[in-house]
Amino acid sequence: MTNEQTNPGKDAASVVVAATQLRKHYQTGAETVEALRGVDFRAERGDFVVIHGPSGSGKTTFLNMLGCIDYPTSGAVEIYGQDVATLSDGKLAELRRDKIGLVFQTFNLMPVLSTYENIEYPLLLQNVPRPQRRERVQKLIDAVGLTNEAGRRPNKLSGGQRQRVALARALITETHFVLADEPTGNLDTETSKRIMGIMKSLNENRDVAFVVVTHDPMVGEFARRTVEIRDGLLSTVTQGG
Amino acid sequence: MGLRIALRNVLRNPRRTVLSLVIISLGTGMLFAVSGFVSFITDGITESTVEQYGNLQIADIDLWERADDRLVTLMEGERVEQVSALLDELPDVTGYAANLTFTSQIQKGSESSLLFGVGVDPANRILAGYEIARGEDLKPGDRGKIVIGRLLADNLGVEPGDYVTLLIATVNGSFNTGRLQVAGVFRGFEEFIESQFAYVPIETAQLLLNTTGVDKLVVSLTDLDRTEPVAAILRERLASADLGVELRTWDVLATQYEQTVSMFTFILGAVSLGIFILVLFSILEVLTMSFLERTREVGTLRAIGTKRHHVFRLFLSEGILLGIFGGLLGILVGIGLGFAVNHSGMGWMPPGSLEEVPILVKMSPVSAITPLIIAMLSTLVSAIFPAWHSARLAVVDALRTQ
Ligand SMILES: Nc1ncnc2c1ncn2[C@@H]1O[C@H](COP(=O)(O)OP(=O)(O)O)[C@@H](O)[C@H]1O
Ligand SMILES: [Mg+2]
Repeated sequence: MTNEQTNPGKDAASVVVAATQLRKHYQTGAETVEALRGVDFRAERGDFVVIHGPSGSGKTTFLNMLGCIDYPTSGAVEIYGQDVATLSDGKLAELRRDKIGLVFQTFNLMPVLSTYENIEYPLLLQNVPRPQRRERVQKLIDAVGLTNEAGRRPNKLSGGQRQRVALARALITETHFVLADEPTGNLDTETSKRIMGIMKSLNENRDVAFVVVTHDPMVGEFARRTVEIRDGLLSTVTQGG
Repeated sequence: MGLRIALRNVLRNPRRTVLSLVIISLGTGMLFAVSGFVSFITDGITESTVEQYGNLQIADIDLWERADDRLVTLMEGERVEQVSALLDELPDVTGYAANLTFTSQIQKGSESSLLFGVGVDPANRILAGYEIARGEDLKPGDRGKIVIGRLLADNLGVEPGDYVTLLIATVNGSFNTGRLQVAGVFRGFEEFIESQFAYVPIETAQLLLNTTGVDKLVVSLTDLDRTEPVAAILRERLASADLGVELRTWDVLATQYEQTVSMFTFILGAVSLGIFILVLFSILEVLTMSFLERTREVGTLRAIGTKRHHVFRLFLSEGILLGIFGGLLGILVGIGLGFAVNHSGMGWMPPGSLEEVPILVKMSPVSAITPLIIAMLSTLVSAIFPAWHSARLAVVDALRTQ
């Protein structure tokens, strides 16, 4: 059932993330839930993978492993060839900060920070000097069309605007690897399309790899590759795009 | 940036922040007022002690050890002059006077009592020591006069103008008696002074003791703070002059002083500790609640690459900010409390004292330091545990929290 996705013609350096035989078991009382049951996966620069699957199939669990915010019960995750199991908590945080962009269904912005400051935050973690920060944040704010909302806090923004802030926050570090868990789950169709359109153009123009988990069929239209997850196992639905 | 986020988080829930600030500032303000009161009291004790003993006293080395052997421990005219010459050289010395102290029995009719007598020079009084309540004080040239404590006068049934008899051992050990006229009755600072002390002209004391010597030179200085430096110089000069005398400073002479002051210091310490604990636990509860509500935000911060110690620092800063604002506000509260107390006309009865003295709060920038430190330390400590807890959360678990 499992497939290893390879893309001939690209060398190993272009592999952004690789997972081998990922398993995740949750122990709840006497019961063990096998959320992932041996998953192999790989994504490269320029990939746009959409992962479909019913609720409870293990999508979030899988994405959390790829995003290095949770540990597999067994199996390995490599980010740019680096086995993350060997990294300390601090090094993992640096890896997430520098190499991975995360987008959540519930936006997860800092309520006390403005649009500008939310997007700027990862650069502060990286100790980027102020003039560069200003330039990069301003450019990205303009790119996602939030120029007029720069000073507003999240509670003064619409859902679509919030997700654009979150997307900008994920991309401000110039990462080439973005993970999105149901990014359109709280948005209407029009807004969803706009968000996906931004992702698509970043994918095409900047070679950013996107792994998007969703059960929204519309999102599939943006995929270069669609994968199905069911009962903790992956299967390819379409290849190329 | 960390501080900016912390500040905004502090201001995020105004009701909770106001509650925290009220707790911290009341605690700090109270501490400021109590410590101001304690420094008023201890300053008062210091002042009256120095009024009683002078800044320092000089006597024969042996006097300090065995005061009852009067034959060998008194200073005769020549030594007094030599010591006086040394004192005259010191610009900080504002005055000095010879004393001759003695113990005796005082009698009036069938009543008698133990008496600590002090022979003083009425023309050269450098210590206040008492206030005349009835009759009059010793005057220059007075002979055969005595002023006695008010309680002692009451016990003996004596009024100014009456005569009393003193029974006394001379320096040779033979008995002597003297009939002295009571010039006045004085009010002392403390009960034991009013009930046991009397003052006579020094010549009268010398006659009673059958000596021309004196036992101490009482020295007063320009300033309390000059005591130690002047004592150091003087000690050296007295030693090299080899006069067989030694000086003692007021704090050593007043054996009760350290004890009394440390009692007040202890009380202040206990109040400080109480307020520290009170603020600590109140703020601990507030911060625990506030941090728990933001678990998901912690998850997000960590997921996008914030390290644990950053989260810890961020939350700790919130505690520190509360401490700083609450502390500064508390000093204002304390100043308000101090003004209120100082204008209320409240009084209290110090232990061993005879009259009520006003309760006053001494306010100075220095007395704000300890309350401020207590405020900041207690809020800092109360932030440590919840901040540590939040920083240690597993990222996925924190993210999953609603
Ligand atoms: N922390 C957890 N503890 C126990 N069971 C969990 C936990 N997280 C997820 N699960 C279970 O693992 C399975 C997969 O969950 P999840 O990855 O969230 O699915 P999806 O995102 O596809 O809806 C579900 O059965 C879910 O109940
Ligand atoms: Mg999910």
